[in-house]
Amino acid sequence: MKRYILVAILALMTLVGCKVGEGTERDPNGSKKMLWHRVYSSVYSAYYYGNFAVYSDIVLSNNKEALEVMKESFLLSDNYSVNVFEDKVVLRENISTYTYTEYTIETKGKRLEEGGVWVLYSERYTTKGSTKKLVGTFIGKEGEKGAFSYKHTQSDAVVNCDMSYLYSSNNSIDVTVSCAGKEDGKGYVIDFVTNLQAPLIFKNGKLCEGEIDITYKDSSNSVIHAFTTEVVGAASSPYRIDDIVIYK
Amino acid sequence: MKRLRLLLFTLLIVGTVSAQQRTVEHNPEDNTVKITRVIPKRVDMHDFRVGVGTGSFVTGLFLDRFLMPGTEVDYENKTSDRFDQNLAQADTYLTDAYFTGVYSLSYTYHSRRWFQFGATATFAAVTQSRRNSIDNSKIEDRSDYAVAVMPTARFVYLYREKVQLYSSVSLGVVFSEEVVPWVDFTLIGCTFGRKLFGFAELGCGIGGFGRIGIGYRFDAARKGKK
Repeated sequence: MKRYILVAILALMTLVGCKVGEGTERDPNGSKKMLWHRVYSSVYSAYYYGNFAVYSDIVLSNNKEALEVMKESFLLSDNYSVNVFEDKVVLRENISTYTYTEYTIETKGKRLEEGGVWVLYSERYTTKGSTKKLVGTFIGKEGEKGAFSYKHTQSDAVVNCDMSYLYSSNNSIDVTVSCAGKEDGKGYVIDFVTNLQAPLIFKNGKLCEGEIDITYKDSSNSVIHAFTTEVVGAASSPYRIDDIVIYK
Repeated sequence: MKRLRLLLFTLLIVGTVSAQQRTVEHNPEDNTVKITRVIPKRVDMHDFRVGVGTGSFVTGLFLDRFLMPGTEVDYENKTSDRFDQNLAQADTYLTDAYFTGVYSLSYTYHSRRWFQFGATATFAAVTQSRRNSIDNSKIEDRSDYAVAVMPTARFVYLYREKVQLYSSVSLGVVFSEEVVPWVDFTLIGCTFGRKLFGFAELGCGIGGFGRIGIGYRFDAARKGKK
């Protein structure tokens, strides 16, 4: 009997240890995901304002069917509204009761395919007044329907884009983005460029196709990461971009 | 009859005291029984024990990840606001944190029936590491260790050959990130067995809340001692 008790004690002694905390997920693509998110944030900002230019151009084209399709993908909630004037298009984003931002594209009544040069301003209104700043410039390509270039600056990142849009008969507006950009951060540099053969394509506001080459260098200009992100599916939202890419 | 009752009562009391030396002399002339009990004051035995204990609140004071592993892990995974520093950790991951239990080794000398003294050493750890996500190589050891060395005084309430009940107090130092003086209590403990015995204790301190183990006791060499 005593022997059994002692054996039981010895067995219990091996079971005292236990897990006290969960570790983190092992993800071999962790750094690539971080870089893709970082680059996509800059590219999406440029695309968003470019999409506003697409909206404005469709307004000037008087294509009501295309405009209805565009409203659905561009005006994401009731907080957004668009007012059209003879020489400008104004997008209003309501942030709170007394705060809102207005984005104004001065079209001067000239379409992009006519070589129009549009300037985008943003003006933020609060109870203390308003502040206006230049966001970017869209340069239309004369003779090319729906094509333009745009330079966007966000924080430390600069993105130069060539964009074009196409309204197809199946009620889809495809926006094609070819871009190259650079983020100069503290102790690092990120360079990115879309593949010429596979530019980024947004269908009705959702990223569906494309490849983008990303290079990350440290402060000594040594390349730490260099890879290609390929979009293989349609994103369900602008934020669910991990599910639709593979890293090469 | 009165003497018989007295005899039976005496036998009942002294019968349970098995560790005592008892002689019974019967005098047929006057039909009396003389019972002599010799209770040695000194015991003169050694015992060695090895045991293991659960964690306790005190364990958490010395092993950071014992009580708050979740917040520690989340915080540590994103160490700074700098993108480049966070990116350097993005290809790494933290393993699960495991608590080993509190292992103890002790020696005690039984000097009196009611008092024993000796020393105890304990070891406890929470193990965790940071590894490379690509090749699973270890990058950083994030384990915490605590080693305690303490002289021990044990007070025995019930001293029998097969069973003992006791409490003890230990006062020594704990070696962890710093060297800290600390105290450990065994609130109530029990051993069962003669030479090879098992023990179970409830305590508070570095040794853990619940403790079990096995030990071995043997007579000390006696020369001229009673």
